[in-house]
This record gives sequence, C-alpha cells and structure tokens, in this order.
Amino acid sequence: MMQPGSGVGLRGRSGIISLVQACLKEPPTAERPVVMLLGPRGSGASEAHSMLMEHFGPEHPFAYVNLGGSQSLLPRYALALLARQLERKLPRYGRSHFPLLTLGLLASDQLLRMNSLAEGRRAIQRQLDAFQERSEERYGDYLAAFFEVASGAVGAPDGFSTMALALLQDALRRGRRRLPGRVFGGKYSASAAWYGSHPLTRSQDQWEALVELNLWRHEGDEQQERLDRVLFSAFLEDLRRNTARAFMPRSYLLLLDNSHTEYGRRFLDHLIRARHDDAVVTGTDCDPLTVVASSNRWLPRWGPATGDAWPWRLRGPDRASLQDWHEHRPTRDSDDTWWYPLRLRDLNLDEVRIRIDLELGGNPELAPFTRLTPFVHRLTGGLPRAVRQVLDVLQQSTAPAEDGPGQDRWLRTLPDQTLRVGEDTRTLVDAALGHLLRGFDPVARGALAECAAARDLSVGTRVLSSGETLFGEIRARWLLSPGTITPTLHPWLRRLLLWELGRRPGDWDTVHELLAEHFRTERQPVQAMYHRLAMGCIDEVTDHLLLRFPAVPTPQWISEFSLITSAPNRLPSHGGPLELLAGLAPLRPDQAVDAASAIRGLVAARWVWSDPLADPAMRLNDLIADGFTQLSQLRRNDIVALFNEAERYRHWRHPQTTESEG
Amino acid sequence: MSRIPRIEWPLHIVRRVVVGLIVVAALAVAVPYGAGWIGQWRAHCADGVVERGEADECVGVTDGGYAFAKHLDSVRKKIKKENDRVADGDEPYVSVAYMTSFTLTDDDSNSEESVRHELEGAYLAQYRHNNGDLSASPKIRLLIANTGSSSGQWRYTVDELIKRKTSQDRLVAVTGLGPSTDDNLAAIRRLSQHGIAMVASTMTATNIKDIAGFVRVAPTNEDEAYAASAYLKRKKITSAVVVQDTAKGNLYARTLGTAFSKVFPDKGHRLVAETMTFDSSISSAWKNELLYMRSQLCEQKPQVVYFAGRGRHLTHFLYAIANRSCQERTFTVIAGDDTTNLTAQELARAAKTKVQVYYTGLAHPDMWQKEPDAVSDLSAQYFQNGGELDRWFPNDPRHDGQAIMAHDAVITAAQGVQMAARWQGEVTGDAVGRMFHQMEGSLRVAGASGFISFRENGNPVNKAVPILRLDERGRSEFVEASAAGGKPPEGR
Repeated sequence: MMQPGSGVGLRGRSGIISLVQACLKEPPTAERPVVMLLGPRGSGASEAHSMLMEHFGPEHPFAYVNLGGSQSLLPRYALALLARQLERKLPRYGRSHFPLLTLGLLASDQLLRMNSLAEGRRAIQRQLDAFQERSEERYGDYLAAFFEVASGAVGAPDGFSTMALALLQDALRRGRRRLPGRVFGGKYSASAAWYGSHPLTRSQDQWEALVELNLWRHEGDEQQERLDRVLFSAFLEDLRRNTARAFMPRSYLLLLDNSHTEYGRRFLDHLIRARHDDAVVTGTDCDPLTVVASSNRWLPRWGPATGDAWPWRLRGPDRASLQDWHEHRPTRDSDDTWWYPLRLRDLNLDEVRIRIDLELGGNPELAPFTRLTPFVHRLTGGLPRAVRQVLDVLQQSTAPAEDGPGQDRWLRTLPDQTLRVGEDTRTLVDAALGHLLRGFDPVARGALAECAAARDLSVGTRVLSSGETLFGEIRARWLLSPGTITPTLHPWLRRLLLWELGRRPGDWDTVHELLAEHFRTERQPVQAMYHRLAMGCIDEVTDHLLLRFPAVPTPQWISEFSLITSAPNRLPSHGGPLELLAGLAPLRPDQAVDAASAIRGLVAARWVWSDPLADPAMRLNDLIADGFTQLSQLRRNDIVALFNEAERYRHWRHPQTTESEG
Repeated sequence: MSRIPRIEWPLHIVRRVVVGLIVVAALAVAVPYGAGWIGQWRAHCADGVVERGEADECVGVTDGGYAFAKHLDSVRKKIKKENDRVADGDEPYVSVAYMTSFTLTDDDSNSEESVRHELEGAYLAQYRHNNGDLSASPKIRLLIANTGSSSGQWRYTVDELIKRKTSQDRLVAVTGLGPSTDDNLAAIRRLSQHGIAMVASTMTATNIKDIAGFVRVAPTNEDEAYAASAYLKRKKITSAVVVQDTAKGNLYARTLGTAFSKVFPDKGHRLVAETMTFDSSISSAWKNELLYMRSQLCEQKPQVVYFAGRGRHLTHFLYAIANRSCQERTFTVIAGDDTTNLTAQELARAAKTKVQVYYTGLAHPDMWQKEPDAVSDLSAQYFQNGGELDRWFPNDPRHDGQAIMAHDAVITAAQGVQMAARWQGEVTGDAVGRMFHQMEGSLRVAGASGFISFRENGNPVNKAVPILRLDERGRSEFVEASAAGGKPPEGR
C-alpha cells in the first residue's frame, strides 16, 4: 500500500508548488508573500506542508513548525527551532549561520547580573560564555537546547508522508553541532554591535543593549513583546546576511502549520511586522523568507470573518502565482500587503479518482473499491481528510469488494463503521465530526446538528435560536460549503451531523417541523416541502408537486422537484436502494399509471437516490429516467425538459463538483 | 554594507570541480614525477649505475661491485676486494676513478681487449700504491667509471663522479678519460670545473691541453708524428707520402697528418706527392677512395706511406695496397698509436697483406729490455712475461701497451695524492692537480712507458715514443724508442 501522502498530496495543489518554486527562485532581496493556506480542518493544509517539504526539502533549506501542537510555543522558541533547521547543511549550499539571533537568545536567556557598566562588559561576556557552555554540555549546542524544550512543536501532524518526516528529522538532526558562538568569534562584539544600533534598544552601547534585552525578558508582557520584535528583526537580518554570501540559497522556506493558534498568530504578527518594518518603514532589503503558513480559521487581525474589512479576497490555489499576488496585493503602506490568502478547495471528482487509484489500485484485494470513486466524492464533497477517512474505513473493514446489493447494504451503514487511528477506534461519524468540530462542546455540537437540518445554516440558527455565535464560528472555520450563495454547511459535515440527528427521531421531526412551519410562514412552499419530505411525508409532497405540475413551466417544476427531493432522510439503516424504495412506494402492478402515481414514484426514487448512503451506486437512475418519461407521456406540451431530464438520469455523468447536485 | 557579488553555482558541484582540478593538477605533477621515478627505478642497475641510451647500457660509477661487462670480471673482482679492504682499514684513503667506455659497440675505436688491459694496468697501479713497492698514504680506492659507448652517457657518469667528491669516497682524481673525442673533452672540462684532477692515459689529440687539473701520460699526436719522422730519418728514408682521413671531428688524423707533413720535408727528405685523402665519415665512399690510392702510390713510388688515420681504416688500406698493380715495389706503411686498438685478429689479418707496417705506439713491454734507460725498471718489470700482471691475469697478451698507459696514468694520480698529502696536508682534487706540475727531476713519474714530467699545458715533456712493427704473426714488435725531440729522456 502506498504511504499516506506520498505523491497523493500533489493532486489539486500544483498551483501552490509552482508559486513556492517561483518564490524560491526570486533574487534574495525580492519581495515575497506570506502565503496563507486557508480552509477547514481536513482541507489538506498539513498535507500541503508535507508535499512542499517533499518537493523542496532535499534541495532547499526549510524549516517546519507545527504551531497547533499540544505545547504552546513562545515566538523566540519557535525562532530557535526554525534557525536550527535552517542551519542544516545542504550539498548545494554553504552552511547558514544565525549569530545575531543566537546572541539575542543567549543574552535574554537568564538573568544577567551587572553592578556597573565598566565591570559589566566583562561580566556579560563571562556569563554568556557560561550559559553557552552549560547548554553545550547538556544538549550539544545552544540551539539544540531549544529543541529539547520545544520539540513537541516540531512533531508533524497526521497527513505527513514518511519521506517528509524523514526530511524533517534530518533537518533537526543535521542542524549545526558546533557552537554558533564560535561564529561570532567567541567575543560577541560584532553581533552585539548590531543590537546596539537597533532602533528598539535605547542604549547605543552594545553591551548595555544586551543588558536591556535581558531586562525586557524579565519585565512583563509589554517588554517581552519588544524583545520578541528585536529577536525577529535579528532573525531576518541573519537571513539577509546569509543570502548575501556566495554559494548560499536565494531564499529559505518556512512552513508554519496551524498558525491560527494563539502562539501561531503571535508568531505571524511578529513576522509580518518585522518584515514591514525592514522593507517598508526603514527601507532596507526585504528578507529572503518564503513563508507558507496554514490556518483553519479566519484570523482576527483581518477584521470580521465576513471579510468586508480586509482588502484581500481569498484566491484559489489553482491560479496562484507571484504575478497574481503582485496584481492583487494591497498598497505597500499597509502590512496587509504581505499576505497572500489561498482558499484550499475541495478535490474534484478526477482528483479523488486519482487519489483512490494511487492508494488502492496497486492492491488486488482493494482495487475493486476504486469503482466507488463517484460515491466517495458525492459523500465527502471532496474534502481531502474525509476522502482519506472513508478510504481508511474501506481498507480496515470487511466491506464486500464486489459491486452489488451486498456492498450497497454495507455502505448504507458506513458512518457507523469503525475507523482505527493508531490505538483510537471510533465510528467514522464520531471520528470525522470530532476532527472537524474540534473545540466544540457536545451541547454546541448537538445544536449544530439540529441547525444542519436547514439548507441555509443562517436560517437554521435563527429558527432554532442557536444564535449568531454558532454561525460565526462555523463561518470563521470555513465550514460552510464554498462556492454557494446560500450559507450551507459543507456537505460532508452536514451529512454526518444529520446522521447524528437521525439517531434522535424526536428531535429530527421537531426540527424539520419547525423549519417547515417557518418556510410556510415565509411563503416558501418549496423549502417547506423539503422539510416535510425529510419527515417522510411523501404523499403531501406528491400532492404539492401534482398541483404544481400543470401550473408551472416544466423546467421550474423540475427545479422545485429536485430541491424538494434532495431533502435529508431518516430511512432505515439497513437495506439497499431498491429495498428502501419498496418500503416507501410499493409497486402495485394492477394500478393504472397516472400523474399522481408517476410523481409519487419519482419523489420516492429521487429522495432515496439523492442520499449517497442510500443509493451509493445510483441504481435508481433508470427508475427516475422512466418516471420522467412517464410524466412526459401525461403532458401534451412543454415536454422537452422532461425528455432531457429522463436522458440525464439514463445516461448519468457524475459532476466534477458536488455543488450542483444532491 | 558593501556586497560581494553572489555566486550561485551549486557548491557541491564547485567543490567537486575544484577537487577534480586539484586532483588533475596533482596527477599532472605526480604522473611525470612518478613516471620519472618508475623510469629511474626500472633503469637502476646498481648504486650509481643506471641504464641509459639506445643500447640500454648500464653506465655510471662502481667500486667494482657492479660488472659493466663480463670480460672485466677477473680484474673487477680484484679491484672490489682491494677497495673494500681499504674502506674497512684504519688508514686514510681517497678515491681515484678510471673512466672510459667499458660497454663497447662497433662505433667505438677501442676494443674490449684494450679497455680490459687498461683496467688491469690501473689495478696494478692501485695495488702498487696501496700494498706494493710504492706503498704510500693515503691509500686509494679505484672506482670504475663507464661513460658508455662512444662516451655517449658521459654527463651522467661525470655527475656521479662529482657527487663522490664529497661523499665517503672522497674522489680526488679521474684517470683514463678515453680516446680523443669531443664528448670526452666535454667530460674533462666539466670535471675540471669541479676541481677534480685528471690524468689521461691514451688521449693523444694535440689540441686537448691547457685545462686546469688535466695532464696526460701519452705523447701527443704531434709528438708521435715527430717521433715517426725522426725514426724514418734515422733509417735513411728520404721519400714519403701522407694518406690522411679528412673526416670532420677526427682530430687524431688531422693532427698526425699535419705534423708529419710539417716536420718530414727538409733538405734530404721530401713528400713525393700531395697528401692523399679519404673521408671515413662517408661510409659509401671511403673504401673506394683507399682502393684508388694504390695506383697513385705505384706511380709516385714513395719509400714510406705515412698513414694518418684510425687503425680500423688502416687495415682496409693495407688490403687495398696488398693488391697493388706494382707488386715489384715494396711499401712501408707507418701509422699512429691507434693501431694498438686493433684486436689480435685484426692485426693478424693486416699482417697477412705482407706490407711492412710500423707504427708509433704509446708504450710496449719490450721497451724496458731494449731501451732500459727510457723506462722505469721497477714499473716495467710488472709487465714482463711472468710478471705480476701475467700471474694475476694469465693468457691475456698485453702487447698493445694499454695496460702500461693506464698504469702510468693511475700511478701519476697516486703520486699526486701522496705529494699533496705530504706537502699540503689536505688531499683535494685541486691539490692533486697542482702536484702534477711539481713532478720534475727526482719527482718525475717513474712510468712503465717512460719517465714522465708535464708541461704547463698538461702534455708530457719529450715523452718516449716506441716505434713498433707488425710482425708476421700480427703481434707488435718493439723496434726502438723514439721521441719528439729525437731520443727520449733517460732515467739515470
């Protein structure tokens, strides 16, 4: 079996690769964006980091930090971790050094004692030497000490390929073993002078400046913030000096995973500010960093999650390029100029197919499952992690590999199948919802499940009194379906939430009743019928559609029919599509075919069909096509649309994206 | 901050290229050096002896431990033994080298016999100086120095000798020095520049003179021609003709012919024809040129033909006139000392031509018996039948006089060493060279070829020149002792 992520991660992400490649090739002093990979949890940001590491890691200096790890990571620790990885010796380039950053970290590490300035210089040098020697004795080198302290933050999350993990471990292991102190001659003077001349330090004297740094570290948040700013500035200056030398890279690749966390946001704030101060405020060269950060939620500094207050509109990763960034970036006066937000889109049908082929196609036992690609795509909406989880369940289970009623029946219960991740075994629905809604308490999750009954989440939250907070949180986490005007939950999330809600029959009916009532009041009968059907009222829906059939043009009728019959269901969790259909609209051979029976049959078939878990293989296509043909025979005019619709189902072609159907 | 221009070439590639270039550069240095070393190692014959030249002959310097040629083995081993004895002994010693071409080819005028005889004579001198009747201090070690065929590798051998000046060998003099050729002259000049004394044994070219530290025990070509002329006149010969090799570089032939043409004609004596010439350097012509001369000789009717050329050309000349048209006339041919370089076989063939052949030699063992005053008794006795040399190296007739000349050269050097030690306390090449010019009166060298003292230019003073005759068996027979001044100096 193929290793997770190896080669797979590239699918649908090639735009990001070419963008990073272009950034790395730019001259050292060229301005580069801070690329933000945005999307809900599971949208493949970590995979993208893994993929970038695989692609560029062997040839370019890179550093990776997972800012969403279990351990909080102060910005200076993150800097030390990054510097240590960037020091990795690559065959193509000379070794990079970070003398300014190292001295800054060293000077702010422990409390420096100094009675007078004259005596202090020697004392500082002596104490710095002592700190350094102690670190060296314990950890091998000074930056390695930070690695020991903050190693948890380096740990790669799920989705990393083994090759990327190997590269990451290599970067950490092959960081410089020699003391950085030797680089600044053991006497610190050259590096200390830089601190003396930095605008943020009050004292012009290099040794006093170091003492100042030391005091900041031990004097409250505001001063620590200041210290962090100076350290970021030192880090960027070290990079600039490195790239100014011969045989050095043009750029360094910085991968910041899960940067939406508190420390991640602080890190990004410092980085953007330090870059802006250097490149715009003081007018020095831009630093040579190519930054790719990922975030699972909207960052507060960008204003409200509606995006109205932010000059940027999220860009698609497929057309991402430096030129696109230059064309769309805001004026350089604002530090927003450095962002380049890319919304990670879901995988389309072809991309899902390639992933499945790559993962399962090589294994004779699992290869038959590759035929399930349309089902997986319909079910998950192409969310990379959802695809991954469904494939994992298929691989771990005893699902019938052969296409047929047996497989249909098994897939009907897919959300309740178990998924093993390490030693953790949960049902797919629990595992997937747990990941997508990390941080939601059970109450909020229950409320969200109820709201998920509404196609429009904003209506759901309003009607069910869950409040704006829930809606805002969902929107900030990019859990709404992208590309639709109606704020609908992502189809995978909504389906899982409705699966959960389906376990609470009373709540299911109540919620749909409330929503149907709301739409009746609002004079939106189609929406009302949608929820009535969800409650199982097929006859009522049939009557409604029967009345509408002669009253409205056929295309409109088809549109209303399609919307109503895409309603969720709470059908039994056993049985294949034909069995489910038989339970809803038993065939009566003796009954003459009329409009009512034809429409009833169509409603029942289309309702079952529209749930991928109920009709995974779309076996009802022909039945629906026949239904439309029958309807066309019952009407004298305006029948072309019905013919077309019959043809559409008879020769069904799966759409590339899930936004249009089901 | 001033910026150094960025170089963006991949460092690992640059490193590989740089390392590659360094390796290539190192190889570029090491390979020729290594090849040279391997070449040297492969060319190594013995310490101080290497393989050189087109014939891959081993040249250089040995103390007798290495054999340049098999035929030298008996004398080489004795020299080695004596050298080792001296080196292991308590008495001070210096080294004297005997240098000539010991690895011979057809291009050489010397024969294996003649160089072997030289080395035998040199050993005798070493023996006499170290242990025998002339025993003196410091002792001498005798080094054998081979310059290769035609002295083609003289430079390597000379450099080896120069090295030994300051080594434990303490080389002070080089003797022998080969025949009169340009290469040998170059070798002499280089040795002279390094302050090494030299005594030539058979070198007779008149123009080799006035070189610091250099003397010779052989008479010059001019002396030989004068001695021949004096002898002929004593024998009442009144007409002669000169046959001369005009090959470029043959100083021997030119000086002989010129000197004879200058000294012979006078009131009662005349050259009946212009000098008849041939050019031995034109291999396709010189034999025909010699054939052509016989009719001229029949016509001119000289009593004597003075042959100014190398011995090997003399034999062809003799064949030519043996088949002369005027068989009724008898010719006497008189030649120079190079005739002594002919082998016994060649001499026997020459004798069969029935032409009376005389030649001026450098020395002869019978000289002591017939002209006892002209040579040193003590020295000459060693060369008599049943003498030391005969006992050491039996069945090796030494009528060519080469052993005597080599002996006299080494004994001269040994006497120089002894005098330098006694008078100057310090025995160096320069000191020994200066001593040569003090060898007058009672300090004359009591050589087996005559009593020898030297002019300032290094030539011997009125050196005895034996007139030899080729007998019917091809052996050289002593006729009488002559000299440039008419009669040689006497010992008493």
